Amino acid sequence: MTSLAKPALSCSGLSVRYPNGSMPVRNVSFSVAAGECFALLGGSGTGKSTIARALLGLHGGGSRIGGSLQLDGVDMAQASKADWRRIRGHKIGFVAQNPWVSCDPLRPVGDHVAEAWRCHGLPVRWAEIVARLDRLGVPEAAVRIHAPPHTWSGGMLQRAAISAATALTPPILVADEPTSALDADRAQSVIQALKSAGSAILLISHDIDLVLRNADRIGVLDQGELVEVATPSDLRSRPRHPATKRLLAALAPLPPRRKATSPSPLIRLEAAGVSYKRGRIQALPATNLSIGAGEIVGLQGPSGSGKSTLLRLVMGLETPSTGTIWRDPILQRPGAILPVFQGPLASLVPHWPIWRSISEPLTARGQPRLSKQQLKARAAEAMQSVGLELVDPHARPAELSLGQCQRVAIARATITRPALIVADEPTSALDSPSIQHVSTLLRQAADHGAALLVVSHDQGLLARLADRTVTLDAKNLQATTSGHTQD
Amino acid sequence: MTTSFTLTRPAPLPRQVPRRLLAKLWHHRSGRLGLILGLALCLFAMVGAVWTPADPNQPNYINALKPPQLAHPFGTDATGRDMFSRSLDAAHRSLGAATLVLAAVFVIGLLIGTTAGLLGGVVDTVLMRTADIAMTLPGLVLAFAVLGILGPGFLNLLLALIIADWAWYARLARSLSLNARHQPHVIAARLAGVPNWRIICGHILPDVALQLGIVASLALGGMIGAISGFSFLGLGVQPPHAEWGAMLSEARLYFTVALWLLIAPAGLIFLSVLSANLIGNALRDVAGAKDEQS
Amino acid sequence: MGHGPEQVISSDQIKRRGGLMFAALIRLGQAALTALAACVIVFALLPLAPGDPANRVLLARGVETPTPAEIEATRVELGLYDPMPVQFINWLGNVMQGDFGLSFTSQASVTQEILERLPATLILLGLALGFSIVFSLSFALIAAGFRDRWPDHLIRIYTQIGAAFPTFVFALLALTFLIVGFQMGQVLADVTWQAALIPAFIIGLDRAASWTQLLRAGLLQAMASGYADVARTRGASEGRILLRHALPNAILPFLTAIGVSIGALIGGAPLIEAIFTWPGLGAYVLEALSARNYPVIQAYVLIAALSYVAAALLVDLAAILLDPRLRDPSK
Repeated sequence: MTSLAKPALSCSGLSVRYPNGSMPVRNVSFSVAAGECFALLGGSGTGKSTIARALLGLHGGGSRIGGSLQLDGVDMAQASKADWRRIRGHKIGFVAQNPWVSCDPLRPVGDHVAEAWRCHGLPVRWAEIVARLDRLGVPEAAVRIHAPPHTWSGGMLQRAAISAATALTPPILVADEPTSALDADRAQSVIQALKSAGSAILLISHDIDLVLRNADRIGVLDQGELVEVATPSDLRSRPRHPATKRLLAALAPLPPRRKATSPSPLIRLEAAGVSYKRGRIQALPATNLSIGAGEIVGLQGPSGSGKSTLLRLVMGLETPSTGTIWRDPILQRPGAILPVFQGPLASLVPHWPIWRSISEPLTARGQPRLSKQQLKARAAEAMQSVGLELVDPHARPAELSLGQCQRVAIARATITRPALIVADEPTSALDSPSIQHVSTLLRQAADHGAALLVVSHDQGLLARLADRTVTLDAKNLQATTSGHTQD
Repeated sequence: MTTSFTLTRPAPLPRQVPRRLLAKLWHHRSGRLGLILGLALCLFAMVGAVWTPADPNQPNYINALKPPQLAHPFGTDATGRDMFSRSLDAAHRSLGAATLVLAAVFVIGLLIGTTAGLLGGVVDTVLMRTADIAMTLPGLVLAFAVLGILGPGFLNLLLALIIADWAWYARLARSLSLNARHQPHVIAARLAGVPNWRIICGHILPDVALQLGIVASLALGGMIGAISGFSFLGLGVQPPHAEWGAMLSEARLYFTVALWLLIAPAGLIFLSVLSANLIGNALRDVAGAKDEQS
Repeated sequence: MGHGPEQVISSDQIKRRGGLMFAALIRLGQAALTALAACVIVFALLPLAPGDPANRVLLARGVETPTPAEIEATRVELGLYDPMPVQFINWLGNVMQGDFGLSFTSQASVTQEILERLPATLILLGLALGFSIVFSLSFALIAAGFRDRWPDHLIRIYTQIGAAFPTFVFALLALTFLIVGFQMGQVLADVTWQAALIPAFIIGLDRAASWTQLLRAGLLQAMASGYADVARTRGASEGRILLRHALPNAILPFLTAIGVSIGALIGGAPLIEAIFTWPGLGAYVLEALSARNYPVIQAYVLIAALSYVAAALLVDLAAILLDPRLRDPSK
């Protein structure tokens, strides 16, 4: 493309200064050409959402914008609130992370789309709304637009949001983590819908895998600065900045597996299924699954396919309504199965110092009695093994980052050397570096002999971590297994 | 053999955040104001329970309806009793009763609610149906009904208010304990094999008690108001004993000539409710928020 | 990788409006059960009260020292030897026909006496409720619209002060202020809408404080929500977001609070009417309380309970109408 073409969005020396003087965004310059998909990549706290808000003029009262910001050739850096209101929707569109959160729950979805016209005082063209939804892949759009958001699936609702954001054909569309609330197999189709909507796209994401696959160019953010801009292939093959290398590390294969897997199964589900209300609600169709000692099994499937129920079965929190579960006697002793959960904060007692949470399994039945000092010492050891030796063991969970909290949870789950660790979406709340930590730690635990059952919607993670992956399919009511070969 | 971490940054502790609840309250702007006010009122009530400058109940007709002065900072009432002494003497009844009722419904609610929630089955059904029936009447109306049966009186009033309120706390405690049972940290402890009693005492009860305590502290202001209201109607504290609401009732006939009779009790009620509201709201702010989003 | 077919909702599922009727019917059934439970409690008040009912009735009829024969006759007459359920059914039948028995003190029909006083209470409480809804709605909208500017600060000071005054204390002070400051001593002479205006205004102003707090918090929460943010990115003005999105979403908890405080309002009627010397139901009940006039107390408690149930029912039905999530049978 020529440099003469007017970019859809360009900013140079963009900075955002909060009232307290801190600058979450410093001297960021980039431009997005018409039709291009430009991605801003960075973990949490790198300023990427702040940039998105600044681009939309939503940086909030008190904070100041520096540098220049041009939307479709119009300078917006000094624009008034009224100017911004006219520009939004016309010159710049926005797609938010979670489609359910971004729709007013009380109004039908059609209203949500129609608002794009209404709030600029334009007549609503319902026929066009339906036609656009159809084009973006929403079947039966004419009927569905009368239904409230909670009856829509995430992928469909996100399409409606895209349709609303591009209703007035803005030259640029800002999409802030548009797929992170969706199941993995839906994410790609939503990105396709996004690209087919006709605007240039500024894709903001922490997901390096997604960005590498979809962006034309990628800008890497680190601590509020744009440290590197490159095409996906260049970024992958020749990363220059340390921050980029750190992000890429999340894609790197884990150290080779020390195959300690023995063929003897630890737990075996035979046609085990769960249903409630005398069979009217089926939580888990009859499923076969076997986990060997020391084996890492990944589990994936769309939401509603019964992943959580399967985990509860394995953990023994639920009994199957049909079929049987065979357990190795070693799983009968308390503490043989320990969990790692999705929300790291909720899985720790908020008012306990973290050493107490970590050492709690040591105080269980069947464990030798330890004094408080001994418990603290063991907790400190465990913290060292998960790389938290510099954190105060008396800290409360709220003082730690989410990634650190998850490492605390892993320390707790490994402190008694359980035979089986059950991890439910252990990385979904975390950013790339933390994901790398957590998966490394889980792998380590498995190398020390624990079997591992990991549920995740992150296929890349399962591919790197698991010995094999089981897919629960809501439609076929079958669990299919696919093996990975580790290199 | 162990993987080296590229990112073992020490925790960037933002600022030493206070860890104890009371300290957190103290660091909350309006919480501190509420605490100071509440402490002062508690001190006032404790002093009043053991000592007053003059006999609060002894009429002295020569001294009747004296405006505030050095000897009588709050003036005197129609029978010449020292209003300051009466206010001081009333404090432990007005405040103590409200605290007592709330403490009682808190304990009853906690016990019944967690028992129902944790045992389940028939116990749960029986307890919760009882609570449901008690909740069909609005609290104040039920209190009136109980007072109608038992007759007016301070102890009857306290009993009526406890009967009127316990069910709400029991219901809440039950749903909180059901929630707590499914908290990830509780499941983790269960799987680890931590004995049930330790899970209940270490995980569930503190959680439920904290949430229930926030609700109770938010209700304290209303309870202070209710007790003075019933006493105002003559259904609570009986003469000659002083209570702020009852003092307002005594003052009604004279307020055109002696405004101070109204100001002292009304002001004390206002300050108490204000302090309770400030503390309750601050407590909700510092301890209630349990959301988790990065 | 294959894209699984997304969960498709069928069109007939959308068209089905049955969810609304179904949810409403369930709620109606619950309300009927609650009303029945309230009747049981109210009925139980009498057997629970100390003393022999026959004695109390005779005393009310002016028989100071009844003979055993008289007591026996009265017991039979009152049906005290019937099993409890039978007594309850009989009592419920009478109540359904509007018969609460005779007042112990005046020997007149309780229903008659209540009907004479009910309009006064309805006027006062209805007006007060109207005032407080209007006040809290407008104050909360202003505060949320001018967030952190002076109108918001003023309104927040008002809500803090208002919430710290029990209604009766506030009413007493306001009344004193009016009478001492403006010599308005005679405004409260008789039961008319005009006479009710000032007391209702005072009660409304006090009640509105906590509701304003609640609604303001709800509005601000909604204004900070994802859907408000997205509406902003579409170019919607703050005012449009406030009225179109924030208000409907914040009004649900507000309505619930109103429903609950209708109970508190009726429960507080004796206190309010005592302060304004208002000749309504509350004053009547207060008399009955000190005289242990049980039929009157029973009637009052039942009326209060039933209006409470009705208010809660209305609020829930409104919520079902407003919020599509509540009429979804699968949730």
